Amino acid sequence: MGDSRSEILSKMIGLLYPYIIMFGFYIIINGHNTPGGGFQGGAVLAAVFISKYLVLPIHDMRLESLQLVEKLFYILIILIPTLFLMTGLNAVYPALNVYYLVIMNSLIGLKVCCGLSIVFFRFVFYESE
Amino acid sequence: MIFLEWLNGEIVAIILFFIGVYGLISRRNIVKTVISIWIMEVAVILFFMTIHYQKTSVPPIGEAIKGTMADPLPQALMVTAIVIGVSVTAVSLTMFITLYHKYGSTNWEKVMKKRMD
Amino acid sequence: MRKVITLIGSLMMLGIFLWAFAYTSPTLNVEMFTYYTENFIQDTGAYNAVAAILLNYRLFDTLFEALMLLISVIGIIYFSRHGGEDHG
Repeated sequence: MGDSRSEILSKMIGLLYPYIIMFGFYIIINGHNTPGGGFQGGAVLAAVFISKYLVLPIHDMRLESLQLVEKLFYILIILIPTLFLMTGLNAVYPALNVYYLVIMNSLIGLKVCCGLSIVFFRFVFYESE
Repeated sequence: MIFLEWLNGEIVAIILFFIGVYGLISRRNIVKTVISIWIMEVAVILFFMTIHYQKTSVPPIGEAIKGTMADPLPQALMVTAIVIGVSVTAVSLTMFITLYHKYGSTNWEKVMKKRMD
Repeated sequence: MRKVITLIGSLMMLGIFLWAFAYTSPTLNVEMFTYYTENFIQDTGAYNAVAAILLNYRLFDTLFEALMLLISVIGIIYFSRHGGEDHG
């Protein structure tokens, strides 16, 4: 399966990695005042893992730790709005709203990235045999 | 171009939805059933995105916008609907692969007959 | 034969829906739309109205959607015929 990869493709995608990661974080961090947001940026970040697999097939991906990371992010996603929005702190300190939006967008983006990567790697590791 | 005036996004969404319904009730292949469900979902997403659209509307970003904004509520709902659609497709494909390795067929009726035996 | 019958049935349903859609003219309730588009900057501090709705006005939608993605990942692992074991 991994024998058909070409040198040119792997070099080119290796050059493109930093730009894809930068673009994904740009979409996530500026999600509150430009088009974008957590879900879209997370999908772009998951594309990094997928293209890395396509040019250089790896088989030692730790899916259990990725899943643990995703669950921890979900606990944080539940906790932060509970502590900030539902206690009414956003009406008392309106200056914290921007930080809240950026933190929530980042958490959602990383969680969606972990989730889509787990889906992709489950399919290529287990279901393609 | 009176034809293009008539053909707006909602009409296209209704036609796509019934293409999905036709694929769902006329084919007995499980993969084609999953594809049809995805086509119906895309049609629902397109219908919601074109609700309350006017040709003069601008994106809902920034302050002191001239003109009417596009409706941000269906866009926010459809962001979540897309991710849920991906999850549903992935889970149903996983279930299909397990079913195929157990019964050896992609046809609904053959699988049901083998389950009865 | 079955394909012809289902095609005719689908076309009839499509015709009924298109007829019903063309001859009704629903008036949208724009109360929510005007509230969101007028107040989202001072309420939430976001300049993107979609992000304001996702993260502040309709937060539960986002929370349960993220839960849905997590549950689908768990479902993919446990509906698979390999279960949660290591691949080798």
